[in-house]
Amino acid sequence: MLVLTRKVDQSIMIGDNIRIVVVDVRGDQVKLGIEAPRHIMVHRHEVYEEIQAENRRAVLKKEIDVGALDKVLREARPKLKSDA
Amino acid sequence: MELKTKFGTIAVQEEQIIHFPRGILGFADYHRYVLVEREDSVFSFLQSVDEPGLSFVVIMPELVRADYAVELSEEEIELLQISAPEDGKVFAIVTIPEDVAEMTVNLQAPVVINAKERLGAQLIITGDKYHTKHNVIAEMHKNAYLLQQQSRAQQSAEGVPESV
Repeated sequence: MLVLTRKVDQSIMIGDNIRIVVVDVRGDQVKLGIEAPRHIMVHRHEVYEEIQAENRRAVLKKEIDVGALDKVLREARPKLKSDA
Repeated sequence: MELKTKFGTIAVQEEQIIHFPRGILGFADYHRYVLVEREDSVFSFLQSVDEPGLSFVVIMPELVRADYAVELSEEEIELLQISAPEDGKVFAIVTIPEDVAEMTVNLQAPVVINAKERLGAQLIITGDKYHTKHNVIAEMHKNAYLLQQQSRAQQSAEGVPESV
């Protein structure tokens, strides 16, 4: 991994159009500013990983009968009356 | 073009294809999808045009959260070429486990589609209001209960007797 030392207000470039600025450093927290083209998504790594993983789980693994899904929801409904 | 998908064979017309410039998270290489809606179901499908095996089940998030709203950043508005709020249709991806009744919906990363421009993107909502695994049935119950409470409150505010 490339490791660079930067001070507050200094930045690094990734390619021609992604710029990362060190905005603030306090204790063990670093505040970063990111300038990137629109099509580049910028997110905290943990959030990004969690959504990727959930998307992978969501991909249909086998044939599905959509009528059966609706039936599950319909059958769950009558419970509601007794709840309320 | 015909696609043999997990939910049956579908015919895809060129003009139905929605372009996802950034793809779906975890599937960055796939950019072309179709939205398959059915009149008789609350479930729709987001189907990759280039990979028949890549299908997602989606619902309208209002089904589980009546107040669900997505705030788009300027970049996202530009990416999706949205000119009016009604241009953007919002969907949430459903994960269906072995026990179908335990299905969950990802409200943290909705899919927004501009049908007019045929552009789509998966967004990430920051903050801790929504997460990736809301139980669909539990949320539906809660949602219906809240709506009922709301309409009762509204009725009593309007002075409408309850037993009319």
